[in-house]
Amino acid sequence: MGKISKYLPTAIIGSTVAAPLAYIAYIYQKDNHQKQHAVLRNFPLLGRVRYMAEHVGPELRQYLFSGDNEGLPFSRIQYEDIVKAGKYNDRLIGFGSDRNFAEDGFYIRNSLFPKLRTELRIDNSHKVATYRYVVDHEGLISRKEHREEILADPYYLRDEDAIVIGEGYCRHPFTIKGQVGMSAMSYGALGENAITALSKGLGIAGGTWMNTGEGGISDYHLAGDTDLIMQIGPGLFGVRTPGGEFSWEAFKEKAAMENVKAFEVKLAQGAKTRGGHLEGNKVTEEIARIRLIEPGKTVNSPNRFTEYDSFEKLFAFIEQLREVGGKPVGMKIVVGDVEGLEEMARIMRDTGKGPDFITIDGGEGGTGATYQELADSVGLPIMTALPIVDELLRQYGVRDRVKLIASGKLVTPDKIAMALALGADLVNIARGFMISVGCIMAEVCHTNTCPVGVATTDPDLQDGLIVGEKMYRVANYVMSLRAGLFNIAAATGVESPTLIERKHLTHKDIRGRVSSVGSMIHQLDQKEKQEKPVEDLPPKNNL
Amino acid sequence: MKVFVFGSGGDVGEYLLKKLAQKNHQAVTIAESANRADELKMVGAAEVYLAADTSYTEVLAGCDAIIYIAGTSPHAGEDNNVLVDHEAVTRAMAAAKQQQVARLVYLSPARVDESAISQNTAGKKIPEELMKLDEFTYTIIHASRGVHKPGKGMIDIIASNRKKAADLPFEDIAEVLVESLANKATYNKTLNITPGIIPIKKALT
Repeated sequence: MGKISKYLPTAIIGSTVAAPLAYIAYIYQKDNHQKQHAVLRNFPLLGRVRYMAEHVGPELRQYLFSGDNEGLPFSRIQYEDIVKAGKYNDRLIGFGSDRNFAEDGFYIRNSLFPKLRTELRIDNSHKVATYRYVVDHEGLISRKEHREEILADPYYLRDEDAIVIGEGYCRHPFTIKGQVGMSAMSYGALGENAITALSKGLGIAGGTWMNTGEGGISDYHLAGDTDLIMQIGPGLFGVRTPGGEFSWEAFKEKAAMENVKAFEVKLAQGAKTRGGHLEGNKVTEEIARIRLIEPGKTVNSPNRFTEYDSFEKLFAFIEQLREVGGKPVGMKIVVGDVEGLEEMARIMRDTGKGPDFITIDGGEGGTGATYQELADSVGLPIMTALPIVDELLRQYGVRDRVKLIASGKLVTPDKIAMALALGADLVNIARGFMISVGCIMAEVCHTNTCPVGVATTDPDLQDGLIVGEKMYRVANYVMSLRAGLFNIAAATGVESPTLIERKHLTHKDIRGRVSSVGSMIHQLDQKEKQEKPVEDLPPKNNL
Repeated sequence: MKVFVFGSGGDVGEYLLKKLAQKNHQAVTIAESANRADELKMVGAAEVYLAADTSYTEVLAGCDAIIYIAGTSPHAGEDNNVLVDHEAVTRAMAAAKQQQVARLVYLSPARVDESAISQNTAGKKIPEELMKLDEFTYTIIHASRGVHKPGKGMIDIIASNRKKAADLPFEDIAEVLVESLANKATYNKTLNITPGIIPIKKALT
């Protein structure tokens, strides 16, 4: 019996108590003396609870405290709808709706004589092999489920109803047999696993498209052999010379690719009416190769194509892109300046020039990184922006030349149908697709620390995202959205969702009164006539 | 071969029309509406008549064989009083005889894993008896429950009905019907098919 064995237990116990105490004392001192946080100076140690609670707030609200209809940008129910459609390929709900019917909102006008299922113009002639989950048993702490292979109905549009972009205006028009596609998401913003799963899932579903985002065409976008719309942003990534000029050589190369079906010139994005910033440490060899920039060097892109400051110049550029590439060219805008858009429609009519499609991003649209002031308050929301553009193009008789793609939180069939009714031909979804590959709305897209490996290029985090699992969820999600659109078409009494119009929509206000959804611009004019200009108001100081 | 398909509107029908087209058969069938007719043509039907303005004798003229998919709901089976419209089958057979169509492949609504009592409920088996009495070259097929899963191309043929049989993809059922058409080994036989390990063509010989 030596001294060591005699005193060891006491020493261990002593140190297990003393060490944490010493650490606590250290933290206490530190908190007490720092000058950043008042609450910590006044309540050392205890004040830290506030910061911890604040940090995990979104998770607590999401999982514990928020009601099913609360929470933004997507409520718990919207989130679940997306996940379940992808996982179980089933969207049936029990008991009824959780929508707040007292609020203002659009409603779909159901016909008293809806179409029968056999009267709908669906093309299910090619079934799609996919996987879905089936729940065997659901208990409080455990859920038993298994995955099974199925042949699913894809719900394509019939050939005669298919949407054709650029018909009669370019050598290779783009024909699409579905109205739902993936909005711009670049490789770099999303990791390779997420982009690969999306590309493969969209490829399985068919009748859809994938917008590459302004970060260029990566191998991951090409992995699933789906149709691509290549986006060209002011940074000109993927189509630039080393000096930062537009490279027609690189553009021709991209235009010759079989999967690339169209180009989109990005003027603005809903949440991000600003220039891009790509930190040097994120510019890996691979990203540099795809974007045609220098590895390791920070890139700042302007918030406008520097050369194009008028519609005349922009349309000339679009004409040239269409001529050289032979494929449809569109542009992505955010609506705010209605007069500016009227000028655009007039120039389109007078010159016969202009885009083959216009992507209208609602102000509520998402982004990986932006500033609060731009995300919250710049640009009109989609349900207002869309009808304005639709009407302007109709007024100037150019609507038939242009297809309209709408985006901005249109993640469920009813929201998509409303957009179709308000003038959209097609709908873009970004965050819905992120959720289908595993996004849990942690809202850290800009930090490269996405906990589920979606919006990150970190290989360790991406390890959690299994492509072979998530790609089927993407496919199921798209197909279930298309099925939902046919459900709504049947309810409104038309054979195909392509026939959903403004007359199929009605608006109910908070007092229960309904109004038809007429011309937005007409109402705008009327209002302006009724309202007194600011100058006509009595002066502030009535002396 | 010009094949008339009865019951193309069901779950097996779409796969059947597709496979007939792939094997260069001409599928002729009836649809209840013009829209449905378009759909059946998209799947692979060569000719589609509208139910409202056709008679059996007219549409059967010139056909070499008939595939008859007798309708039941997918959840039909044990203890369900499934009503098979055996009068329709009888009428079709009379018309076939008149038009001298001698070959008949019949997918019975009675499933492999149904008890003999259940198989005879609601006259499900009456058409089969009639077929045997007439001078058709028949093949009667009893399958296990069909599901929308990709076909495996493999089946087993079992001697008699059994208690429980695994689900069989509709695609495989359709393949059995098409492969039976000109396969002499299946003539005047009743086949019980379940998912299995033998390639369909081989299993039928």
